[in-house]
Amino acid sequence: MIEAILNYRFMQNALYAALLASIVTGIIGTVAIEKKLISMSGGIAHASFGGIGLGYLLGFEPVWGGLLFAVAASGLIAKLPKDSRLKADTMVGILWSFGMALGILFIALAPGYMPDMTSYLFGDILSVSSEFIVYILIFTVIVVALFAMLYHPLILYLFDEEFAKARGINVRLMQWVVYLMIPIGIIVLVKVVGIILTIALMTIPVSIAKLYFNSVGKVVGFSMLFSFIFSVTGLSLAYYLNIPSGVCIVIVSTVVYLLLMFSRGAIQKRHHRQSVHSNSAKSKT
Amino acid sequence: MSARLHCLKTSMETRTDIQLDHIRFCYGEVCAVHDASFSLPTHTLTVLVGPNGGGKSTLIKMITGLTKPDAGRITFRKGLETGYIPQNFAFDTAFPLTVEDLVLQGTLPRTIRPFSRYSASQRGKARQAIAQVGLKGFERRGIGQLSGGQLKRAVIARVFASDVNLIALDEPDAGLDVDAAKELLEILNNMKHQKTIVLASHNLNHVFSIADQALYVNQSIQTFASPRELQDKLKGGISL
Repeated sequence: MIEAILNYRFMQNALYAALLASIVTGIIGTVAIEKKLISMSGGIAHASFGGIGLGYLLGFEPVWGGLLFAVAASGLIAKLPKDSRLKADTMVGILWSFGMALGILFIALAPGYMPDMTSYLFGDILSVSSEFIVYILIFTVIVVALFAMLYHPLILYLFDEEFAKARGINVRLMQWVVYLMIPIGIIVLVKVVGIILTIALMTIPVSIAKLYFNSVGKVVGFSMLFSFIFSVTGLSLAYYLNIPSGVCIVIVSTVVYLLLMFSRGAIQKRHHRQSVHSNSAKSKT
Repeated sequence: MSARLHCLKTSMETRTDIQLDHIRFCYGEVCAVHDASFSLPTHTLTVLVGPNGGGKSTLIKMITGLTKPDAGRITFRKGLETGYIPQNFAFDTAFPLTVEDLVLQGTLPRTIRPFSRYSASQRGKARQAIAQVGLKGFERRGIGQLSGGQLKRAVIARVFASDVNLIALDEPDAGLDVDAAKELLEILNNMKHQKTIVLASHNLNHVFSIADQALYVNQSIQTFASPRELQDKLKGGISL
């Protein structure tokens, strides 16, 4: 594997893509989980497929089409009135299927052979080009810059919007920043794990970090680290077993998450039993 | 009469933070508050007691400017900043936040300064507020690991760390056991030397001992010479 990384450009690109995707995961995963926008993120990821198809049809880089559709879908959801939760959910569902339908339609209308869309649906980190690395580097810089620039007011907005409003923080601006960061971040993840599996990489590393840390900074940092470990492990499995990388990354991260969650639960139960036992022993004496 | 909100002149002889005159507020056909008038003197603790649906929460929200009256006038002292602590928190306690992070949020400036970090003075303010509510030593603890009473205290510390002059609390002792409620009210009693406190409460026995002013709220307001007088009337079962 190390030899392959040293010798092959596609392996080096895969490693860069994994690193950038991990940085993005830590940030937008935390934002989406804490603001309860995971379902919306799924809708945005699937809506982006329409733009990817449009890119194929009109002959421009599909990632730009995907970004355009993802940002437009996010903006549409953000514009919905806040008190109508049902409408937002419905809109997510509509955009989810409409984006996919448009993507398939555009690809079917494109001249020549139908391209293999598996890499966009399930991810193919091993096929990431040097040009694509530049794109996702730009997107990652935008996400990191927005997050670092507005860190404290953004955390307050994510945690307690009512108090943020009462403090006079511009919550409208915070909302737009969140609804811009998420689609940009999703486009980075699409190539690594694919549209269908994006949500897994957004949620699992953050959920693991949340098991152990109680500050946003640590959760973001460690979910970046976990995401990178999962991506490299998945990448290695994909390389040796010749199976889709996105699938490997998601399976590895899910298995690790379940193991950690159950072992933590068992440890907590044991501690609880021990403390109950020692308390009852004390009361007897 | 249309609702008018304007500022009191600071040169007034008696320093009053908020003056409410003939306030009315209705939810459709049902009026929660009708012809209510009272004032909140600076650095005092006022308790609003009364039956459920009597309009206590509505008044608390009007005092903090979150709700505007349908009729009457609310006059705020010039430069007055209010903080509101609701009965139930809208946030998720599973959020990865330590007590110190939570309290520091109260020190955030209104204008967003890009790439800003908390200054030493903001941290000092937060530490002072944490100590004031008796949570010293809990700074690094996650908010999800706090008891109900500790979480309420941490939220009070967040408001205390901000530059508000008046703190309005809606049923701060709700859901707390007797000891935790007592402790919380003691903290509020100590705070009144620096901030004006107004709270709606059901916990009659404890609040009367710390209140400077007690108002009975049942759509309209009944004022009493002292909190003790209202307490005695309520104990005597006198219909109010």
